[in-house]
Amino acid sequence: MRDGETTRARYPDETGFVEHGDGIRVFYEVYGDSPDVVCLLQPWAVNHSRSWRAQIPYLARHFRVLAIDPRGNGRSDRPRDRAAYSRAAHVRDVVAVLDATGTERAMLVGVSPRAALALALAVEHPDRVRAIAFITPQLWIEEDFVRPFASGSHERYEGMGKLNPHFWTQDYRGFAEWFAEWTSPRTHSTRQREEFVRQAMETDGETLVAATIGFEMYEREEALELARGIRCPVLVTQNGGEAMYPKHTSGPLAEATGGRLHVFEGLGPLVASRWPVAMNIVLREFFESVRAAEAVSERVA
Amino acid sequence: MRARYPDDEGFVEREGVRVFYEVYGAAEPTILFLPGGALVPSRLWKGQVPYFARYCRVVTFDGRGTGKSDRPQDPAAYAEREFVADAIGVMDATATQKAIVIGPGRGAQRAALLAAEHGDRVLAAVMYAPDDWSRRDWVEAFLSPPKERYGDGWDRLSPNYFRRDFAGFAEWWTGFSFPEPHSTRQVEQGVEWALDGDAETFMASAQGSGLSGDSLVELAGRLRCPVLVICGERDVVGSPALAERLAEAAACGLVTFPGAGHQPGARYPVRFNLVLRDFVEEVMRAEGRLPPARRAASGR
Repeated sequence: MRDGETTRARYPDETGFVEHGDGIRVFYEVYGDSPDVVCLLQPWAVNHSRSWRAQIPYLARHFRVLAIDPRGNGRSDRPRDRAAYSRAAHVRDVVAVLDATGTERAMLVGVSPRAALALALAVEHPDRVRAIAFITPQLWIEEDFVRPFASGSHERYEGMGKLNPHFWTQDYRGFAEWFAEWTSPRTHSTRQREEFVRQAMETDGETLVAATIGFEMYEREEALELARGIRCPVLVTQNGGEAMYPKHTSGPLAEATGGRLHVFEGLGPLVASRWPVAMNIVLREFFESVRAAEAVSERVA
Repeated sequence: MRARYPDDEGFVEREGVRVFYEVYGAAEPTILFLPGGALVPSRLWKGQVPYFARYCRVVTFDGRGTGKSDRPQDPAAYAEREFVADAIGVMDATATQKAIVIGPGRGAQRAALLAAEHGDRVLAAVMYAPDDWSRRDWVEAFLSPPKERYGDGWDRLSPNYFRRDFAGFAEWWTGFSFPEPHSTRQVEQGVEWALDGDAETFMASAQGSGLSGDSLVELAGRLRCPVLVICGERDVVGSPALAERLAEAAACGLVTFPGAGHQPGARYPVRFNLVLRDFVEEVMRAEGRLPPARRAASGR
């Protein structure tokens, strides 16, 4: 258990660090012992693997679950150098965790901007990726984010204008608290906001800037072209409301991959933390369908 | 929407007052969830019903003055013996010979009275978040003369206040019940239930019901069935001190939920249900109706 963490519904069966030659240690946890492995990919460094806290105990009853802390937060190292946050370095982190845990192939869950990491893994290591669930994915930086992010420094930052690296280094807690409110606007979300801020405050503004700028997102056309080449089963989920971004990637991604698009009607943002039962059932059904489809093709072969 | 709907429901009527009950599940034993104070209907048990209906038979009823039950305006209709007679009426109507009874808040007295006066119908009794209706600060507030302004304390327990602003009263009272962080849903729900009632019904029930803490302790000392006392460490509506005295008088177990307020069953349903289930199994084992090895075999 980490400092400030509340008790857990389930504790990992195994934990460890990987390091693949650049000196950065990345932390992972393993839950359960099924031959079917679900890898909950590292989120954007504003949070860490505990952002999957409502998925882990449920999924671990049905699958083996790997959870990874991103470079820049959790128990992983926090380099300030942007180069340490390249997409390639993140891909190597995941492959190193798969190797360290004896995982030949995993079913990936990638969320928001780190959905791009799932795509990269499927493209560069197709033999290690058994299926992908993209949760409110962003593969390229959507227009709504580019505008505030690249607008330079200001006297004051309001609303989405706070998605600005100048603000993060100036008032990181202010950013974390606003982001928590923005992503958990519904009633009865005080616990989700508190947990979000708690995880966010385990790192700092400079580190988050490096982690955000250092990770190369795709260009739109490039991402969709690569997505068309994915051969593993794909699920894309999108929250039901229009309030929360990203919202322009899920549709084209589902179409490009031929995967199923599941919209959580009336729910969102942050379905995984605010409506975990709804998210968990969709994920479990998807992964079980992957297992069932493979069993059928083996019999046919 | 509910996690589980009743298998049977109905009304019992005594002296012109109709009381609404629900039955869930079929397995032995029956747990009778009693009504608490006048601001909460039997939906208070929404965190318990679906869980226990999987293992036991669950009977609930809306206390007179709440939910679908009638709302007499005569304080005499809210005497504790009336609640006890309603409970027996519901047990008869549902063909419940014996039950484990659990009473919340004001209902703790009803559980104790039932067990003391109808020992042949009660397998075991749980007194949960017991309150002391004769506590001095409440009585003083209740009898105080009208004021221009009311603070955030017990002075709001004055008829002059809750008759003037019942919604404000409901919010204040429910807020006091849930001192825990992240209780917005429980507070919202509690206020909604309270506003299903009205000031005059609350007034009648407040005048008619309630034993003093001392009488309750005396009653607890007379109980001969298995007893458990449950309370929240930070409960200011109920009384942790009274809970301790009751456990001592009944020579029974006391489970205190750390950091919890008046309704650990609503705020921490999983932990609460596990505590209550352990007690139910202990009772059934003592009755010889459950093999001693059951939990060990299912545990891992």
